[in-house]
Amino acid sequence: MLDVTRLKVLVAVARHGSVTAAARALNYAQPSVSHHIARLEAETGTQLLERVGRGIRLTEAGRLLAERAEEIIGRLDSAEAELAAHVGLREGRVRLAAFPSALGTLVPAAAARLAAETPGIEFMLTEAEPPEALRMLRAGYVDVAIVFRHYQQDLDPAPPEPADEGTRGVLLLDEAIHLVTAAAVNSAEPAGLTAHAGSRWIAGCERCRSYLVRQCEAAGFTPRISFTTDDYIAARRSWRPGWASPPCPSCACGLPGIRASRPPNCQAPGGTSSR
Amino acid sequence: MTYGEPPESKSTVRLIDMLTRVAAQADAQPV
Repeated sequence: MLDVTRLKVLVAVARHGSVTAAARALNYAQPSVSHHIARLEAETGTQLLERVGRGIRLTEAGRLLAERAEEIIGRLDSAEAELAAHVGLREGRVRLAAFPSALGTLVPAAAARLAAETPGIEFMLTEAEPPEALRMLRAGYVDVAIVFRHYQQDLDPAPPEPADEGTRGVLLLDEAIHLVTAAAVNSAEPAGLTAHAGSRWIAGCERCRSYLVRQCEAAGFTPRISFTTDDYIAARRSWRPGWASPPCPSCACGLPGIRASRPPNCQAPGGTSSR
Repeated sequence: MTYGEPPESKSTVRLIDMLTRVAAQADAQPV
């Protein structure tokens, strides 16, 4: 049986990219990390790390073991929390990963109400875009992932399913995507995308960017993307006349100094997934 | 729930239920 502590060390090296950084994250001495890796290599009879220049990287076998180890450790962590809740050691712990606008809107409201109803419940929240949130869910690092998917009513045959393979999904919201421009722009300006064909665009994560490009190309132009950010504070500071961006549905619409309008048929269903 | 998956904890079920309730209220409010 492989030693769990050594597997944790391997995962830390994989995650942080070096023995030194892993030692810092684990609060171990560097020789201790090297020792654990050497013992793990001896146990498995396989080289797990290799030198590259002045650094190290995982071998193919090392990457394989690290991925499995990440899953195993996540499951052990879940089992520990569930057992503790079961025997009444604590009311319970719930770990959630969600994208930024959900963390700024739905999650704090739900967490506050749940904490009021269930004193002692412990929340562990992580910001993650949907692909990463689902990866964390499958690996057992979180219990719940809030994710979103885009679809366009006149291009896609049906809204996407809320659940991915191996998860249970609950649809939370099916929201329209809003086009955001600076409020200083003429208020009589048409809300359609084509009115902004000459604008400079702010795009978000890779998936949001793909959706923006798809929408604009369907409207007959390629957007000139000048700024890529998932940070709504940074994006908000950049909204000025001649700039436009399609934010996630509810988060940006209430910000002062901006104007949100709704192009037709742009939807983003958001849902939770749990194992 | 997929066969073989661990059961959701009570806390997880409560959180999903609360998220659903909050989202339903948010959905009912005009943007």
